[in-house]
Amino acid sequence: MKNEPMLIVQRRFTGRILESGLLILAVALGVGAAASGLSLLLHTNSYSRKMLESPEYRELIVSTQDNASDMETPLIETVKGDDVILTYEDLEAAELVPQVSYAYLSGKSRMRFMNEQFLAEMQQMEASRPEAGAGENSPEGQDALQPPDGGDFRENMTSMMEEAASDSSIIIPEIEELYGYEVTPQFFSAWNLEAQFGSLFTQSDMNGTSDYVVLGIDAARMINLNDEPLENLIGKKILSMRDYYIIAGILEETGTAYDESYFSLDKQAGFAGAMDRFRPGGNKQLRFTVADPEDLDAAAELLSSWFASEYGEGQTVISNPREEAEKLMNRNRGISYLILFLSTAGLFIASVNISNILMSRTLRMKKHVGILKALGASNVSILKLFSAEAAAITAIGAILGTIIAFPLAGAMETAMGLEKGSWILIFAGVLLSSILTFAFSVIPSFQNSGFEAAEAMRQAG
Amino acid sequence: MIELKDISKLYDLGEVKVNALKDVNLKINRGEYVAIMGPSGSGKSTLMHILGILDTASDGKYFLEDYDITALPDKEQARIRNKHFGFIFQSFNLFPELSALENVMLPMSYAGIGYKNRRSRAQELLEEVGLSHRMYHLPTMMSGGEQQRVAIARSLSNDPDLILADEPTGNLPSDKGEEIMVMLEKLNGKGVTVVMVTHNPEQGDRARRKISIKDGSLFSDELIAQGI
Ligand SMILES: Nc1ncnc2c1ncn2[C@@H]1O[C@H](COP(=O)(O)OP(=O)(O)O)[C@@H](O)[C@H]1O
Ligand SMILES: [Mg+2]
Repeated sequence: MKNEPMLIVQRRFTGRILESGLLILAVALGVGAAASGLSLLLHTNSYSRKMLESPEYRELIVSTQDNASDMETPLIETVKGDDVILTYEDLEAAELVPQVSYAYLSGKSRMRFMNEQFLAEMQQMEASRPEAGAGENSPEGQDALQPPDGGDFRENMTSMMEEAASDSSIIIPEIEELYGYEVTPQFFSAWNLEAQFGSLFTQSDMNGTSDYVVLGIDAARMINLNDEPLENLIGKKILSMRDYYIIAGILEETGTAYDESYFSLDKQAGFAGAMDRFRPGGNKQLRFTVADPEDLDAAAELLSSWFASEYGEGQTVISNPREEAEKLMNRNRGISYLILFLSTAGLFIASVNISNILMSRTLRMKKHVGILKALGASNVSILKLFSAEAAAITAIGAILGTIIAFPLAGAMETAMGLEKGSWILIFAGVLLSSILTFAFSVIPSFQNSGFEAAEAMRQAG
Repeated sequence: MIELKDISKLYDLGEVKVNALKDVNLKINRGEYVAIMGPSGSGKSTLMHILGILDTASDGKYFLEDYDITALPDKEQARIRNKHFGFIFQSFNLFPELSALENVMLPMSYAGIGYKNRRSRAQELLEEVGLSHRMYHLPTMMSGGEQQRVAIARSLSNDPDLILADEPTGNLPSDKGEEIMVMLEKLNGKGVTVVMVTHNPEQGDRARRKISIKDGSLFSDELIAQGI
């Protein structure tokens, strides 16, 4: 491709390095800003769409007045709502609301394991504490680190451990704890979770006496010390601080935090007792899932009247996470549009300026064009020659613009609380904005190629 | 070889209309050596531009080897300029960004000749015009006479059939002008058709045909018997 006409353009370009550098810088800034703006908008849209696909946003959450406003409301007011306690049985409401496909309870919980390490820790704590006056104010219930009854408790544990160690059907995990959820059976259906091995809870398990647990796939791997095939874990028991748990099933991989979680039955839910209010997370939040998000409002209305007639007006609160999420996303989208508008305006102004500068370059090249034509250049070859220059400026600018766009897009995403967008979006943005810039910078080439040779050559200089 | 039929060129400047050429009829045969003379502004350059297909006539027809070239597409016209015509200008018109060698190579790149061949051919041509020591010089580093010799070398790069020289010695001192004249005569001796515009009556008399132009019209057209 190296030929003399191109050499002319190249040498003029490098001979005016300041002007050329500024041109490239203008392209880089324009492309960088527009590309990150565009990628941000695309990302915001696809992220919103993806996020709203989650079952979380097909749910209505019913809670008591005080429970819902725990965060902001002063304590005095919350006492009023204590009269109302929502329980497992309130899930019955679902039967009167046709839009609801699943109803369940779900609460965060934690499983502490009993193992050598834990015993050693406990011993150490006992030694460092003068009086074993524990057991009074344990806010975390049974799972709390403070044992209720000092030495006795430990002896009890030690013997359990010894027993367990000799039994191959009992697993003593080496990890300290697992986080998980206490759920009721329909939780799995609502979240589309399927068992890869074993089975999930059924309604009849709610009345049974055994403690079953379902494990996320990574959680299962964590406690699988002997690297057995995972299906062999089904039916085995895990020794926890609270009791033995029987592994009922292992979930398919979800790619979410559920993979590292365990799921146990919300046993208290079965008793529906007044005890619930004293348990951590006692007063329940009930969750109702609809199949089609369009039905959320209608379902909310029916649920609201059901709970109002059951507990009285204003005692329960129905929240619609999707509504909140949509509000936030619309705000984000609005900001993205604004950013895109501003950055595209910047790109446009830069492009017009580039076009202008190239136009004046072109006029200075008029005589060159005349001579080139006399020596054998056609209109098309002149057009190609100057388009190549425009393309080179655009390309170098676009590469620098890409380098600018990555941190810029990253910073904007972070500021808007989005996860990292795909680099493909940035490249798409760079491509689109480069095309715009190129279109502008190529205009002078058309003008240039159109000069009549004789007229161009009469030009002085 | 070339035939112009009723060629007119009108510059329409709105209020003012300039009739740069009026009904010019002209035949130039292969191998001729034609001098075009006339006062400034009489239309000599306009005629040269039309002959070189650098400009289109407002009216009339242009036949090259019996082909009507006015109707040819731009690309074909460009090819004819490139392969068959060589241009020499009063102000040399070398590209200031290119060395002497690169200036001579340039027309060959439009002819699709590869870099190595372009380069060796350009070297030969520069040697022929006595500039082998100036190949890598930029035009600004050369005298007018040297620049015009580079321009001649450049005009010869694709072996033209017709050389169009518009006042080639106009910007040169007379001894340097004489060198250029000798070169053109030598070319004509090899069979290349030469059409040259000149103000210098002495130069005009050295051609074999002298055409006078006045106010855009051919005024006289005479063959000159060169001394035998
Ligand atoms: N582009 C143009 N626009 C208007 N008038 C022009 C243009 N080019 C040439 N002319 C006019 O045409 C006439 C002939 O010009 P030209 O051919 O350059 O004369 P010469 O070469 O004989 O001095 C002049 O009057 C000149 O002013
Ligand atoms: Mg002239």
